[in-house]
Amino acid sequence: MEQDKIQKLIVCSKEGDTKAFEMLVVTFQSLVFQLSYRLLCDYDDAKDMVQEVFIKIWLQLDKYNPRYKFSTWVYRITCNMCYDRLRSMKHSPVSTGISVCIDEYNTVLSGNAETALINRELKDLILYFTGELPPKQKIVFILSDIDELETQEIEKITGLSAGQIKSNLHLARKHIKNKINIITS
Amino acid sequence: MEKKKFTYEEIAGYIRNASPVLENPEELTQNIMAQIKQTSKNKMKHKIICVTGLLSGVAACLLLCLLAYETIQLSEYYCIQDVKQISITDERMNFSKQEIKEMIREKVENKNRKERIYTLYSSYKQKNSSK
Repeated sequence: MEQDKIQKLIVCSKEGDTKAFEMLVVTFQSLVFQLSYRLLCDYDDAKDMVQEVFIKIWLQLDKYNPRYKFSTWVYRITCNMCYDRLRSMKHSPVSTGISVCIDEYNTVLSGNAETALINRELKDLILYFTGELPPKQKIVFILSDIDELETQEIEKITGLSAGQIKSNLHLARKHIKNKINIITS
Repeated sequence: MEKKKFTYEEIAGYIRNASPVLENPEELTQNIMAQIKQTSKNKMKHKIICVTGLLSGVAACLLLCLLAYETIQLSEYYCIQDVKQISITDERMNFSKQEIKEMIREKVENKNRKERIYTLYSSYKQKNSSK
């Protein structure tokens, strides 16, 4: 969607137009879902995150600065919320294999086995390579090497300096390369 | 070393291309919108509560100001009345030493007189009771 159209929708949403906001949700929900899924590696958590992110956007729409791209602001809110979730997950007890099995069973029953398989494969892959990374490194890796955002935009999203981004990315790449070495050797 | 770099790129490329799939995006949108409408209602309620609170706060302040004003006005009135009374009873505020002595003597005499009357009355009462 064009920036002008997005800005118009934002202005309407600020005035309380829920239809305009619905258009924004439709446009950006896949972006939020993909980022959340790649960071949290859980389908239900990512879905919940999409809802929480859009409610936060709706409530804080007045704080949006039109000088920046709306997608950058959406990325920023999503990253912050996922970062908090990742940090809290670190302190909470590890989920057992039983809950994962129940989730898969439910997905197969709902008739979306193919989708579940794609998501499962991706989840396994991301978890294997980035599961042990600290939240900051994981976010920087996803934004830089997966979503292919520029360093300036990552600076705006994460609030980190260029140097910090570079060092976090270096550590993340090093960790992933080590993991690849383990597989290949 | 070259092989390693290529493998990293390959992995990153695979993750990049294999986007996670969201089932029923329309349903999710509807859920989000339902929650937003709910929060909008709550926001409205919150606004009404805030405005009511603000108005009652202003009313309370005005009432307090009115009471304070009236209290000040009344105290000023009584002050004026007191001053008037003083000026009526004691027209003169400056007394000579002789006059002050005279006034004290008069007060002491009055007091003694009252005491004498009291003792006379009590002795008279005692006599009556003994009879």
